[in-house]
Amino acid sequence: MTFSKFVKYVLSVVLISILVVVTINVHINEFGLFGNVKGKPIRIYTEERTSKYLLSFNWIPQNFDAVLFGPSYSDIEMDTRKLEGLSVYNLSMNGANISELKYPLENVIKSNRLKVIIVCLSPYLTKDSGKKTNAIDPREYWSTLGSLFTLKYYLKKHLALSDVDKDPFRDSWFGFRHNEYNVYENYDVKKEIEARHKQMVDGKYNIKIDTKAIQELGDVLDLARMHDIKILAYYYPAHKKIFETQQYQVEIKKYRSQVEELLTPDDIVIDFNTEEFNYIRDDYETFSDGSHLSPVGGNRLIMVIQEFINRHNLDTL
Amino acid sequence: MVFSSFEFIFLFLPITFCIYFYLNKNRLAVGSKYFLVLASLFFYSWWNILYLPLILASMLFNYFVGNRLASTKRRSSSRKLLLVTGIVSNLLLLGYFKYADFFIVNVNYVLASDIGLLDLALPLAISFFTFQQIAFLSDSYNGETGDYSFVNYAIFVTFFPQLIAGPIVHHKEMMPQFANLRNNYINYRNVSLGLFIFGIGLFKKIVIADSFAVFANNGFNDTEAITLFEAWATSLSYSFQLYFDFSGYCDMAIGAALLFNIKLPVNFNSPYKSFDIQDFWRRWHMTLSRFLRDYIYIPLGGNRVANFRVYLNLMTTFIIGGFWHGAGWTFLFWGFLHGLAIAMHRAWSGLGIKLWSWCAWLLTFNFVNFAWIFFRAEEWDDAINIVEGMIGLNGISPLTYNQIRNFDSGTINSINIFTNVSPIDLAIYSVITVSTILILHKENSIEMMNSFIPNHKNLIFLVLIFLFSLMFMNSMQLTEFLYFDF
Repeated sequence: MTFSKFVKYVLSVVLISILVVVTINVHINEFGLFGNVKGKPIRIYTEERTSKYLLSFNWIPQNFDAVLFGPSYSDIEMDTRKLEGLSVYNLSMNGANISELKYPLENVIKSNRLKVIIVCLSPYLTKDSGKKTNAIDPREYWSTLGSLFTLKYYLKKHLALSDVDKDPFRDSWFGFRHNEYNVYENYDVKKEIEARHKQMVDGKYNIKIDTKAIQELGDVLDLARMHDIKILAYYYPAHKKIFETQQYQVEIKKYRSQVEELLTPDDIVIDFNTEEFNYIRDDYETFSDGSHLSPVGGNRLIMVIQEFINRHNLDTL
Repeated sequence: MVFSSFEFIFLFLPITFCIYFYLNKNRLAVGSKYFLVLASLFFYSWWNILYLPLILASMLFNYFVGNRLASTKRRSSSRKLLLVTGIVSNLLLLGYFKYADFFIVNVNYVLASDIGLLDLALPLAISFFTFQQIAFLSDSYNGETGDYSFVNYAIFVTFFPQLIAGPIVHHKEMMPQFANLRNNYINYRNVSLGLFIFGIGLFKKIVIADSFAVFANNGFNDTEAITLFEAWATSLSYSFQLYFDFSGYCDMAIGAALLFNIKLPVNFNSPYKSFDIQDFWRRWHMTLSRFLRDYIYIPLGGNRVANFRVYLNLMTTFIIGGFWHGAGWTFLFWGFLHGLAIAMHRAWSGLGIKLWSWCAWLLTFNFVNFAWIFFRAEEWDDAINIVEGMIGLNGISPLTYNQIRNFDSGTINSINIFTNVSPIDLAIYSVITVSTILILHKENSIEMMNSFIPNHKNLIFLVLIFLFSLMFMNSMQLTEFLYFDF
């Protein structure tokens, strides 16, 4: 082989290979990034943060009227498929704060196709700011054309499909994840809540409020209002026993005073920590551990949200 | 713009290559050189155009002073003054941007004063182009420079493959190549070799060095209570990261330059195969060693002075070498450690006792690995913590649960079948082991290039490493080249 041929072969094989890989990935369109993807069913297999961020560019705006967002408290067992009248994607992310959630939220809000956003108001969302991982980065958009990420994703997709029972995203067509905690660690809910209660009684509980995170949450809500999107916010339920401790009351008041400033009279607010919802918050069955929702708890919250959607005619917006 | 970026590989490099040879083909040789200077300045300005005037001013000033030195009569009294002015001006420029804050911090500490820091961003490549031009001035004074045209000098300083982080080129090896008309035409042998070595360098940087960077950064970012296994994994990861990063960068520089028929000097020759510290410095950052020897060690008297002075010269040269890398006590200490090791090696050699080769290698490698800790650590305490961890003062257990979480971007992997050893631990140890074997037993990239022939085996090899590297490049964890900071 001559040097000249060697150069030509190397360049052409490399370029053709790149073209093939890119074409295959565009064709698979795993995250619905390209073209008309209305009606294309997509579920998550792994890497929740990256997956939902990528879905927020094109696929969610084309297929949903609303999104629910929050940390694991609204991510786990909040099956938004059960909501009627509104097609709601659960954009919540396990362990995420508002600094991370704001990127996919901005994408869906700016698409001008959304009617409603549902916010899970939990102190976890605003206890810190800044990204916690490398995920949710604009470079991830292009990495779907062929990268380590896509390779790992396809591999994990294959593994997830062959091990369906333990796959927390097995029903994630609308974004929610199953409770995986009890799969690996068997929590005794009563004991967990007792332990948290003791923590409160001993005065060892503080709610951290990050000023920047509060600001970011406010910015997201303002952006939604600018795009004529209705806001439905709900205060996440704490078990009644915990909620009524003096320590929790002191801390939650500080938190609420800051969050209330972000809400306007036009927003719809559900407070799951009132007497009206005692059947939810005073029942161990609502929770899968000391704080996360069980499937029963998830259903209960979904039913209440449905009621509010109907009451405020959000389905006819 | 970094070599390992899509904009460089798919836009800048091919466009510059095509225009350069198109101009040459149309007998616009001078125009092609000016184009190469402009392209190199564009490459430089990609980071921060604000520093473009700095490199231009430095280039013009040194060309003027160098020419004056070369053209003034040798016995003229003004020559020495001109040389001193030229060198001091270069050092002041470097000192202002690189060392001012270091001195202010130390003055504040000693005098308990409160002088404000300048907080200047370090102009890219300033350490490299300053050293190259000081060498040019010194050689002009000694009558060792030719009658260089401005455009050739401008390419010598700004030529993009070596501009940012070396190799530190010498005018004597570069100027004749720029002046050689035969280099104005596409040479497919050089293009093949260039692509081959560039591909290997890209793979070393993107696939190997950046993978080690994950482990090294995790370790150095959280040094408190680092345990024995973690500390060794961290320090070894950094040793391999630095080698693969910088030698990978140099391979890419050599490859990119070869596309233009320019041969850059070799900068690495399997340094971790060294059997003694002197051997190490003949294999590691060879062009810096050459500069330090020719322009610091020898002018200080080298080894042609009394024994005590030789040791002093060695220590001085290495401490300056350490300080050149960065303005910090850890860099000075790193230079001091290497100076001390070289001095001890000299004393030991005088005794005529030879160690077993495996023992000599083990001692050399571990010393180098130990010294890199001070080179990498941002704070003195971090370095001490790692050293304490390596001798087991913080326990010997492998990575903690929290670190496992961090390694895996917040997702908990199931704990491995081996008690207390996570899959991530195993991955770290495996990568380190495989790399060590590679380094010790395989030929290095320059040796591979020297034995290169255009055949199907090399074609498949090159295509695969390019595709792998591009796949890694399009992934998330990318770091800049480490030597960009120096």
